[in-house]
Amino acid sequence: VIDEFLDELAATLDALGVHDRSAHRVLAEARDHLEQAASEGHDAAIDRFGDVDEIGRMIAAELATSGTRAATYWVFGALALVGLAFVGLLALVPAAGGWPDIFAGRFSAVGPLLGIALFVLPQVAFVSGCLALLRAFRLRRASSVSDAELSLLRRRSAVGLAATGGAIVALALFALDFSVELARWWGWTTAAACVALTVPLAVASVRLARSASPVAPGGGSAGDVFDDLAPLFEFEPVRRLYLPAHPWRFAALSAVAVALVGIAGGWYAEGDPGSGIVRGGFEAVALLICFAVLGRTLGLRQSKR
Amino acid sequence: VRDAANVHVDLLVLSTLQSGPAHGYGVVDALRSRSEGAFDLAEGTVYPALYRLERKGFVTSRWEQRARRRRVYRLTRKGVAELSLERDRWERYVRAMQAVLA
Repeated sequence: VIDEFLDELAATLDALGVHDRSAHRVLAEARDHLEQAASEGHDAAIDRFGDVDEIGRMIAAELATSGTRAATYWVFGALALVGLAFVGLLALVPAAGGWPDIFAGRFSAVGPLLGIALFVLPQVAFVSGCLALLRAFRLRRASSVSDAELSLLRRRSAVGLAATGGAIVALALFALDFSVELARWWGWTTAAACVALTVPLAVASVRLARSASPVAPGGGSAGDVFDDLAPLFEFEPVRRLYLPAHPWRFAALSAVAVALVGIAGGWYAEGDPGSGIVRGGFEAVALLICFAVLGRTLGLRQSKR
Repeated sequence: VRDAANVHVDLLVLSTLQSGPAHGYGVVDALRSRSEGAFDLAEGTVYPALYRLERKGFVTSRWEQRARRRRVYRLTRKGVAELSLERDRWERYVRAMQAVLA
């Protein structure tokens, strides 16, 4: 009777994605418990132990939650490390010969594309990583949360990793494309750094992929960025804008804010208001496109609210 | 009473382990006997609670070979501090409830 019960528990754990050491430990402890409790009868011991499905779901939900949260911290650590290296390498460009004409690279058609990639992808990675960290921090005390919430956490982390990977590839291609215009030491340093930085990204990717199993069986919605930043959206002047019900209004306001920062930054950096307007306009358009393409994936908006 | 035990299972398990290291069955047995049978929860649910407490660093565990091989759980220093904190919180809650109900 005990063996049958343990087989059923093993099958339940397996179906919920609890494998290997975790499953072995649960089964070994359950066997020890049941054999000791069996002095009062096997059936009574199994009745008192509880429902296989309920116990399996509790264990899976908690493992899924803690695993996904830990993976998110790993991903953010990797993104932060790569981000620092990325900023450091770009900061060295002026010392390596200065920013080249974007159309003057070895492969003229590639230069502008690389410029756009180097501009947009790090920002996508930064926003995705921060959103993932914010959600993980919000859930830091939760023992178990819904599968939808964990999926959102993993999607945010995955987008952050993908964008960072893309930025590294773009940086390596940039070094190759402008190897004549820029100093050789910068090219070699960048190439070596790009190769080295794939290690933390790969480690974080493996952690993230592994966190998809076990499965949290609980239902419930994932919520969106308006839940993550609830105190901000409850602030009276902001609340009156009804942004959670109108996410595109939120996107438009964010685009205006980003445009203003871009204009000020461009004007300051280039000493020319025209350059600032171009940069600010590009930032705003990029934000709106990213909101349209990645809004639902990153939980910036939901289908219905 | 069983529902209340499920809600407060972490505190109950920590409190049980304060008397000394125990394996899962020992924890369940102690809970039942100390509550005079009132906390008769589904015994298997104590294991998710033990795993959760271990992940939080409130207990540690290892396999030990005595009469039989079993996983034995112990309170950590962090667990003792958590128990003290939760016990104070619980006592405040009980006093407040008693004041209202009286």
